Amino acid sequence: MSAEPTTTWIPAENPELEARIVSLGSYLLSAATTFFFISFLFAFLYLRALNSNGLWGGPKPGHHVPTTTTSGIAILACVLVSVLLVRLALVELRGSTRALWWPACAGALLLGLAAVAIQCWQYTDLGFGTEEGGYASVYLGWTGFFTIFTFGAMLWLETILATARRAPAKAPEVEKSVASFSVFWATLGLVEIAAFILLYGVK
Amino acid sequence: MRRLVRLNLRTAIAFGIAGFFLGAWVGREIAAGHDYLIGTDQDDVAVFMGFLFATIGWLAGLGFFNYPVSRLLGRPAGYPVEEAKGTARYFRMSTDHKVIGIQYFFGVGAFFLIGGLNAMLIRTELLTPNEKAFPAGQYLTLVGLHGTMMIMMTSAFILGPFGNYFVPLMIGARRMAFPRIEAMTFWLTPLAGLVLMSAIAWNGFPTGWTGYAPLADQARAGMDAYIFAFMLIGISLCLNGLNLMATILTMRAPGMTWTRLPIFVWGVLSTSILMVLASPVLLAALLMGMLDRTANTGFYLASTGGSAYLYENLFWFFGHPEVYILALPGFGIVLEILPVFTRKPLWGYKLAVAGMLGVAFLSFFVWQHHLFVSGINSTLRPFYMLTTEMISVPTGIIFLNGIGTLWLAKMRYTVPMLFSLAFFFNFLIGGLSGIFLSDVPSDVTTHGSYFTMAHFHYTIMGGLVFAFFAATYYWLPKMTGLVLNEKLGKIHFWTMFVFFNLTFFPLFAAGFLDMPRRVSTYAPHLQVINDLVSSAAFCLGISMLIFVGNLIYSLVFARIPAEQNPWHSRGLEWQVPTPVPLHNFDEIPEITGDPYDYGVPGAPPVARLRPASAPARAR
Repeated sequence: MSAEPTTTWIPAENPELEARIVSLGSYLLSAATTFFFISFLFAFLYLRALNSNGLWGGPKPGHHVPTTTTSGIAILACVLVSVLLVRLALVELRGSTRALWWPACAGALLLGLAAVAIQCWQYTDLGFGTEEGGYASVYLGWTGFFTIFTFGAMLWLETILATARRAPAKAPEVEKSVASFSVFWATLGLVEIAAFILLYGVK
Repeated sequence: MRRLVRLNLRTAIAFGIAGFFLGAWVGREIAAGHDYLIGTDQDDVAVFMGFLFATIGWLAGLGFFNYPVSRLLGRPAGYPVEEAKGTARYFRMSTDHKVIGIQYFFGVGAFFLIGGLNAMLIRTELLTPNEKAFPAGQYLTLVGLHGTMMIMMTSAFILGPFGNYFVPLMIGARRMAFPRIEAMTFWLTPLAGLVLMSAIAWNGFPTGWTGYAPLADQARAGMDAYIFAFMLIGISLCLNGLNLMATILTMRAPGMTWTRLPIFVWGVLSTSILMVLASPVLLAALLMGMLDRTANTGFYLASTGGSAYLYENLFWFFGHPEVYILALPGFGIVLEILPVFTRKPLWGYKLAVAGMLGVAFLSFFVWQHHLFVSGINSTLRPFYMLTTEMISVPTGIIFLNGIGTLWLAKMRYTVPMLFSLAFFFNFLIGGLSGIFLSDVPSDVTTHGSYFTMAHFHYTIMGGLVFAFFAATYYWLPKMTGLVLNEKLGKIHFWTMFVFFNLTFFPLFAAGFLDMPRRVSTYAPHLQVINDLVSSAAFCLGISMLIFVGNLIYSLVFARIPAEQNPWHSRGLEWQVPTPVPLHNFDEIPEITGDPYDYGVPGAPPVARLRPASAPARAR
């Protein structure tokens, strides 16, 4: 492991190219995320259709574990409003004033974190155990990993906000960062809509 | 942190080990000693938390969290990147795609040899019809370790070293799209290998490389190591595919149109699509298995409302595209090499591209043929039989491209060319035997036998591994700046080719004679065939040692400098100096010609480069 102290510098690419790379990366990440959650969608439909030993809904055949729809609605609302706020911030950044983009993004961040907090709180008073049927398994898996993905997305949004706070002059770069983020966050918004319909509606 | 401690492999190991014990303690506290597997005293929560914290420690020890944390604090995106020279850079996080390519080559290669050693132990056991060297449980673990290690490592066998090293050079870019992610995809791979090997300390795992439930739900803690290791590989595959795709789609040099893109890059691109879309499904399937073992969910347990078939479906939705994740880069390599040594244009370039994309597309519609014998609804069988047989059409087209290029050619029988020709021979046998397995009646009689084993070794080892060696002998002079000994290379080729076929061809017969897979005992009348196979397998192992010997001799002792373009190739990667400068190109080149215009009168040079990296002579 001998080390030579010589160092060199890789020439920087132009900002336009960097923005295109991040933009394409966010689409690809969204595609990967979609396929990840399609697995849980498949698990929901497959296990529900099979209904092994009549235990899809709960520990006794023909019985379904209770679901706390109120907190489900609260999480859905937080995520969807957050997605809309990011879109609003993007419109602002593309407009002439750009006055509201930062508060809109900060609001989106807070709502995203609120969705994470509500989901964590819901786990403490779920009303059923993880072992109580196929539904309980899919519920825990889907919502659990959605929460982790949401938290990751919020870290990304925080990075954008913190960078913009330090270098407010770079508005075009911020716009491209927010645009890339909004693609991923909107994808998670669609995943949450599907989760709500299936986990709280169809069951 | 980098200023306080010099982050490298040593710190990664130290932080990883500390992380494991911290995680195990945290897991034990969370689970409060709850035993989810009746009759055992194992704590799967502690094991998984140990692995998770070890991964965090490993990555922190390499410095992967420095940049994200600085970005969270609002520091701007960090290019340019400081890079050190010298051998130390291979033992720490580097964002230079060329360093990462070499890290992959040696890192993955080491685990490939370990997987090969497992194969030698398997063949040792199979020298006699009865249990001799290993008890049945240990034998199963050996089979599982061999299969999982090989699948995990061969997933990165071509894209890791050659994809990362050469894609930017071949498309005229200075770097990959996401260099830090690229570095992480490599460093997750050896960690996955180490985690998988730790299964030995946790009583192994009985499921083979597929990890089928419900056996996986009932297995001891070695299964945790399997699940976690494969998850790391799933993440690595997905991120590697994302990075390669983003690089190819956004960073091509001016003039690098889609019809000028080297065929190897097309192979990488079509593979990357599979990696981005199929790997998340594997990850989800394994996470469900992890939840079954730790949080007491019942995804795969019929007794609690789940189904083992759910795992089989999810696993093979990844598993069959995985076969093409292995094969497509191999196709790309041999089609890249053939025109160079036949001095002819690649025959049917656009057909080859269509074939690769066709294989990638169809690979998502065939997974249920792996469930033909698992009780799949019989009305679904014809559809999946048809889609599986259909995939042989684009594969056949790629084959035709190779044959068309070879037609009436004056070949140069160099070592890379020999391996490329062997690829076609082996893959033909693998492909033809695959048709039997796509056909329902013949599949149900051969699925659990050595016929299947012989088939996938012909496609994966006969295809991918031969393509890997073709690429190694072709590109290693550019990567290392040193020439590999050709005589030893030819000895390596002939011993490998002969003993590969002597090892695996008789196994088709063993399969027809009803020798079952994954069982350490067999009928006495099969001993002759098994002894022949074992002897050939040991010789195949020796052929690998010849390669390792060649590598050590050529790179450590002989050290003969390589020319800039020893094969007289038109490939853009050969037009830059050897060794390749850190920034690849002084200026982004302008692509002016097709990469396979060999022997075409008046063909323009492949690119316009600045004098420092002017094109070398290409006939």
